[in-house]
Amino acid sequence: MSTYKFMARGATAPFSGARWPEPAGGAPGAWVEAVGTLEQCRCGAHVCRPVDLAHWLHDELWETEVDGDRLDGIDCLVVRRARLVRRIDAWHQGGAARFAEACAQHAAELTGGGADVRGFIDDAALSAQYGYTAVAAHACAMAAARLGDDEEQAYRRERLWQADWIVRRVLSPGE
Amino acid sequence: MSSYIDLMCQEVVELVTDYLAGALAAETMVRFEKHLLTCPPCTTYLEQMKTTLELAGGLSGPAPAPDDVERELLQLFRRWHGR
Repeated sequence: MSTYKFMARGATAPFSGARWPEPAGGAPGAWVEAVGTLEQCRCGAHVCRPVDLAHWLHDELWETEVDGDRLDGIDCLVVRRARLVRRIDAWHQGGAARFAEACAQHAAELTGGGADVRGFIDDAALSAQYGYTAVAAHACAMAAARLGDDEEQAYRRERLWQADWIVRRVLSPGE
Repeated sequence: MSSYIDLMCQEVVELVTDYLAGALAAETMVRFEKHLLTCPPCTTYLEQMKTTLELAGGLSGPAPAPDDVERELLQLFRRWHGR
């Protein structure tokens, strides 16, 4: 299974602020390894499975390689060690902007843009316009959540649609 | 509470100390961090809190000894009262 990680600029982990070793000379970056019992948010390298991608949007998207024991986390995979294999330039070179626009369009079509979701749809469109990709995608998922009897299921369905868009249009656009 | 539901900004402010101390349960921490990704103002607030804590932790000057302060204040008071 391919794994990925969204990073702040410069291969920086968004929450810890740690810079991950970048690939050099055609070789992957050095392993980032956890010591201790794996536990979400506390111990372990956190990466995305393809289905998790839409939950952790950020500036840079990296393909990662993982090794060792692993733990299924909430919308992520927690692993013993991981390393950066390659930065997916298509994300920050226009892919993120197209993704935000696609999210806004999809949510507007899905919901019909009724009064109960109008605020979310407007926020999404505005956020997409100004480059706040994560905000746009989140607003779209919240709009979708308002549709179903089961809000969480509807929210997750929209997040899955978003993740699938990234996989199809950014990670494997030629397939 | 379901993990998909975003925290409100007010909740983030209330939880920020526990977050920085690593004292939140995993599900709450996930919701906290997901909120940060979609809320630039809360991200800025968190950074300000981190900076404040780092600066406060770097204060190394000795605090006045309470006994010394008390003695000096009593002397000042007696001088003033004796006028």
